[in-house]
Amino acid sequence: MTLLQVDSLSSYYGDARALHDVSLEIGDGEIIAVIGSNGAGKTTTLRTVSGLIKPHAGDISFEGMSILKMPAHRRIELGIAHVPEGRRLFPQMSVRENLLMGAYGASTWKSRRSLIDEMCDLFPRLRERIGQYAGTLSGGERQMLATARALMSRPRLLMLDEPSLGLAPKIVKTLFTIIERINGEGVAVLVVEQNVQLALKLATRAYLLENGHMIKSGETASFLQDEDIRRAYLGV
Amino acid sequence: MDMPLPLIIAQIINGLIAGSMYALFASGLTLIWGTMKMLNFAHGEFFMLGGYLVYYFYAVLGLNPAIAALLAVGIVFVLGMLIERVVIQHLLSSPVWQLSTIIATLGISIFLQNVALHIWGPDFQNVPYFINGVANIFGIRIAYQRLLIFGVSVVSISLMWFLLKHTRFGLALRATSQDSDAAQLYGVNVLAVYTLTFGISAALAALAAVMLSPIMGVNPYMGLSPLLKGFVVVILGGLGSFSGAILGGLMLGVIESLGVLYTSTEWGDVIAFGFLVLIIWVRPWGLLGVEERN
Repeated sequence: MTLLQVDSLSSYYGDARALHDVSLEIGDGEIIAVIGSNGAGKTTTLRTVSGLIKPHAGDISFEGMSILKMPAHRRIELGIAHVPEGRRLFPQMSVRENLLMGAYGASTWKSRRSLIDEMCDLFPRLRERIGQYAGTLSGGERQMLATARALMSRPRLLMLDEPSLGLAPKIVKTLFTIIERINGEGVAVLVVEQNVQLALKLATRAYLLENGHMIKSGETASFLQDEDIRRAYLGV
Repeated sequence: MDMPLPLIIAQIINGLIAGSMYALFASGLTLIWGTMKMLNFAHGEFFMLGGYLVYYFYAVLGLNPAIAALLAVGIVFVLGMLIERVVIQHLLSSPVWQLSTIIATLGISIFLQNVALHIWGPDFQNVPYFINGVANIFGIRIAYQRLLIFGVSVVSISLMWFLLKHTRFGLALRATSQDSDAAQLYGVNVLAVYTLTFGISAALAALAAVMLSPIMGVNPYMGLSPLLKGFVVVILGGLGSFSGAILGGLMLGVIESLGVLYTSTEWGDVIAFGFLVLIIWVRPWGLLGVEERN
């Protein structure tokens, strides 16, 4: 069943067109990757899905219902959790308070304590840092916290913007194992990555964005075999 | 020169009492700066309206002072929310919102001053003390009204602190002030937070005026001087820092009243503002503010 359907999205940054007719879809429990170089429109696509940017044309629907007119703060209650570019933690709030923000929605707020426990089991480092300001965490810990904050909302769809950026390879590996495990529990995952190799290994399907155009989509295997993609993005 | 110790202690206590009012007033200003990143030049007029409303309900209509105070603060709270909703909110999405909110709040300030001038005239109006009598604490005489001022500000600042640190709304407010986009992503209705914050801020200013009006009287322009000092306190404590505003307010009060002890009243301001210049010279981000790094 289709969970998220993005249909012919177009948007502008001032006069410059950021997205041209971008479409993508993700099924329930699926894991997909959106790849492309810097400025291709990957972040704009995610920000449009979560409602931070209003598109000029096109439609977005979640479980068959258009969410275009729904304000950003209500989309999380549908089950769309977005870990934005740069993590965007609340730096002067403790790890615990950042997690609480993830459960801010009325339906998760009641079970916030048990959710925090769950997250600390999933990311043991967060338990050690629970009282510390988020601004004092290391890069890896920040990404863990940002992911855990999103999971606190019990999402149906987890959207991750450049989760591997700036992290040591070992931490990236841990993180991606956890993402796979979350996906295994039925959460659909949409990951945007500049690290194409990593993204194609994680996902089952992928989309390629270039200059705001969606120029290729399909099984990740077909991406790995594509000569142009190998040359441009995998360096082989 | 030698000053007798009891006199110095009495002045410190007086300074703390005055400072607690600066703190109450400035905490509203800093709350708005912290969440909305805007300067509210109408804050002094919310103060002034609080003063006139308690004058009207208590001195004119003769209601019980506690009820009059609650009515005054409640009305200004609602008015603050209304002004945010009708005037400010539309400006926030404009690309020049920083300038337009300054101009709009200046306009509101002038408008409210003239409304007060029209209704109550230019003269000072007196408000009787809420309680009469003088307490004698270890030989230091303090009017009950001043003790009441201090008590009310301690209670209301504690309540504010609890609201910010231990409630779901406080969490949303702090999240909004640190990253409004991320707050929205996690379910915070940021526009509603702005409206409520504006109302709370206005109510804090009104509460300060309610408590002070028996001592200083009410007048259409009574909000001007607190606004300037409020900005001083907010910068002294660190822009956007709630605890900074409390600390800054108390410090300014004590410095002023000790300054008066050693020099004349006119020099009190010179000392207080000189001290401010000194502090922001050493710590440009204020006492409890966060240093911005780029």
